[in-house]
Amino acid sequence: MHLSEEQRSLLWLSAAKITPSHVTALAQAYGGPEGVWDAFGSRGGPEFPEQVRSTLSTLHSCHAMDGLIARLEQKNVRLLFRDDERYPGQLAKLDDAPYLLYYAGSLDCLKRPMVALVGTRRCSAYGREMAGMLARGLCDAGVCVVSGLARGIDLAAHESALEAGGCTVGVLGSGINVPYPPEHRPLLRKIAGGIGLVLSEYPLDARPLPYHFPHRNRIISGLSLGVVFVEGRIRSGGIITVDAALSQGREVFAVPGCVGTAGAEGPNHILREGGRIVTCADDVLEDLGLAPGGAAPEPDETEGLTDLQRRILDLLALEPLGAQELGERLMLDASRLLAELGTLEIMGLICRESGNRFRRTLQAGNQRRS
Amino acid sequence: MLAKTLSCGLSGVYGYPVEVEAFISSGMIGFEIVGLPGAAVKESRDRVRAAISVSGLSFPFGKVTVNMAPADVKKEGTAYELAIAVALLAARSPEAFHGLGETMLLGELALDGRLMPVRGALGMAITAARQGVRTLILPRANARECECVAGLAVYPAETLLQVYGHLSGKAPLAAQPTARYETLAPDAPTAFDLKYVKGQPAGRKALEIAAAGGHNLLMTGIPGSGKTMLARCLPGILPPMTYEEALETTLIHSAAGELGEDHGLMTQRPFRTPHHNVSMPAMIGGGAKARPGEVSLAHNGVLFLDELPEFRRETLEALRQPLEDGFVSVTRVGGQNRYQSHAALVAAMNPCPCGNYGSRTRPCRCTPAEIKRYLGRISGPLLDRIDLRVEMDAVSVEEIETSGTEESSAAVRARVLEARRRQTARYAGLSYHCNAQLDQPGVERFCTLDAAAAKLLHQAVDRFRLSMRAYGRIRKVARTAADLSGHEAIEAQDVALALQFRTAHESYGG
Repeated sequence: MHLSEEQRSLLWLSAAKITPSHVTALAQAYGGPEGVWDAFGSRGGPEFPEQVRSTLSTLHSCHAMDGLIARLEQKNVRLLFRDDERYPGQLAKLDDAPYLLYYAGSLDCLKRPMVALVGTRRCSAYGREMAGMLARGLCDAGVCVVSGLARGIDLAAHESALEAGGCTVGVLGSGINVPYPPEHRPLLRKIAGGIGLVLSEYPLDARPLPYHFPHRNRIISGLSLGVVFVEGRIRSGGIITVDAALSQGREVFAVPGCVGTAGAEGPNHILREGGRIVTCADDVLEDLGLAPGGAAPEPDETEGLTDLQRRILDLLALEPLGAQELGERLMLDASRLLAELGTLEIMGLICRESGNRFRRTLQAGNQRRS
Repeated sequence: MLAKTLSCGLSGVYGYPVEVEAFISSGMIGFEIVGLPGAAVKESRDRVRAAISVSGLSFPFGKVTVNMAPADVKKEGTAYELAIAVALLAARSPEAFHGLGETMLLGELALDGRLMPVRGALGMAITAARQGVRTLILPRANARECECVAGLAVYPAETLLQVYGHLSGKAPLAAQPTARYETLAPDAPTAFDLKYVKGQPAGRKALEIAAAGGHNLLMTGIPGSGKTMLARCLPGILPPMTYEEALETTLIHSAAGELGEDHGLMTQRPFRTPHHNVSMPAMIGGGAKARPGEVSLAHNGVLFLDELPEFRRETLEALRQPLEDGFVSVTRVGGQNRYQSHAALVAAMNPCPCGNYGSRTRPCRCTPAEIKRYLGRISGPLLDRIDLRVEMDAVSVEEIETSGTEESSAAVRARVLEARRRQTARYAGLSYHCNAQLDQPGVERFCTLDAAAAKLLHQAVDRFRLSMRAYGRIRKVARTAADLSGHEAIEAQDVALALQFRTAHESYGG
């Protein structure tokens, strides 16, 4: 990896997690990043807090910097500077755009239109399913799905995008070598190994510190044309991303939820504040002026169902129900009912939630509607 | 002056005859017991001396030696004390006693001469009958458990003096009337009936299948959803205990000292609920005195493990073998004891550490990682032995109040009996007794699916990504469902029903 003097200086500053605005100020004062390098440690040079100074001074030699670059090469992590033509234009326009992004995977994704799916780490089955459905729909239309590689909604979005064969970008709040949560390492490899991309503005071995994440969220929204808040509370990381998106002038969407459930608090709040409502991927595509995918409708699997099965589906269309309630409304004995529910579950028309309630899947709902 | 009486030691659940000899000689006054007495047997000397004196009989004067044969087996416990006391009295005045050679004496003595109950009386009575002993004298509290032993006259006594009166012919005791097992009402209704369990159609059905096919059951549900209540109903829908089963179970309870005073043969299947901090010897059997553990006490009944993930891992691991083989071998210095342990395992657990996951009213504050760790505490191999996993419905109080009457245990038991009868006929002459015992070849041979059922099951394997092991388990459960609904081959609806008894948590291992 060949780097110019300026780039080496920026990498050096990035290793100590100097913020973009601070770097701009320093560059102005000392005549560019390399000026900061030259002036460091001398009389009248820039002053830093003790911890930052010690990190910078450890790396303040050609030998140390060569070691750092070799390590990046060994880990197969590459660098994307702000003046690079491949740097996403959407992001570059921001005042606090990262001056350096560490990445693994393919930069081709950045050429596609991007939409962010964000939400809580503790999601419901509904949230997971909606995130998955949206991610698949967006990928089918050639849109790249951006998310934060966290548990819950993020995981569902990334996995479904991968399943649909689309491309997806994950933005980490830690160094690429220290993914958080740790169990998502295989997911990271899968994304970076395919046509996807994993990004971070933090140095290779930066630990996932709490303050990184809200800061990271501005990159998620900055990359995207729009942000979809799938599920989450009002005080959550998702709302921070939405706020960032609003200040960056991005479109904000939310998936409506059932009033009274914790996960619906955030999206419903956004909808009340004027966010756009999303019930399927086409809603997003239409609002962003991207042509809907126009995929052929799937064959109707509800054909060939018995009357009883249709009645069960109709009851479940209103709300999720337990076997007891279903049995009472249909006047059925338990074994017959459980067998019918099992059959519908195998067909993928209903699914079982925690607490043993049954819910219509989105698949069944869409087919009945069309 | 020498006298001999007959008593019995306990090895496992059965006894072995012990001859007690007393010898009185002139010399230094003393009382020695030889023949490998344990600590409790050595202490017997003081109880025997006091009991004889307080009863108004005279303790022999001179050097007293008591020998217990076989002399090379360590004698534990207090059941020999009556035999020792009678041997001493007989050594002093041999002419006063009749029929000591064919009478077995059991009982612990209190200082005032009362007879205290002993552990394992039933096993010892059976040994006595097999050895050709004609009469058995034992504490009254132990009499009822021995009333069904054939070929043995049982005389319950309350004090040493009564025994003396009986053996000397002055005041004969009344024999315990013998009872037939059928008259003990083995199918009397229990306090726990399914008609009191509101809602939970899936849970009820799972319990019925568990009873009909001998499957182990795991219930997952929020606290208060009725897991324990449902489990307690299982003994009541299992077939009534046969005489042999009742005898086996009572033997174990008697040997463990768990039977209670004045208790006849057990007619109800046992329901054991060990607490989750139970130690391994207490669960499996063993310890210094080699007693049967909870899994054996649940023999022919139900072993209920509430809060399954809270049990120690090694305790649960050790449970696998007894549940599979149906017996536990406890090896000690004195030899090997074998306790039967054919029990139905019913386990219950919360869906997450806080217990509220899936509740409609209370929020769950657990992270996915915490839930995963909680569920991961149960080992895969143990889960493999649990065919049925059911998630309880999270029902609210209003729903419970509005629901109508529920089917009673008696109605469910009738279906279970019919399903059991089908299995008995199908597995006649084979090593299986119920569907749960089927191994791989057995599943292939007996769990045949009709065309529609096979198609449905293959669809399910694709959709739920079932493992090969889960596939076999579902076929076994479907076999029982078919037996319950009277189908010869497994039909599609049996498979669909069986598929309800997987949990939603994929981490359960499919």
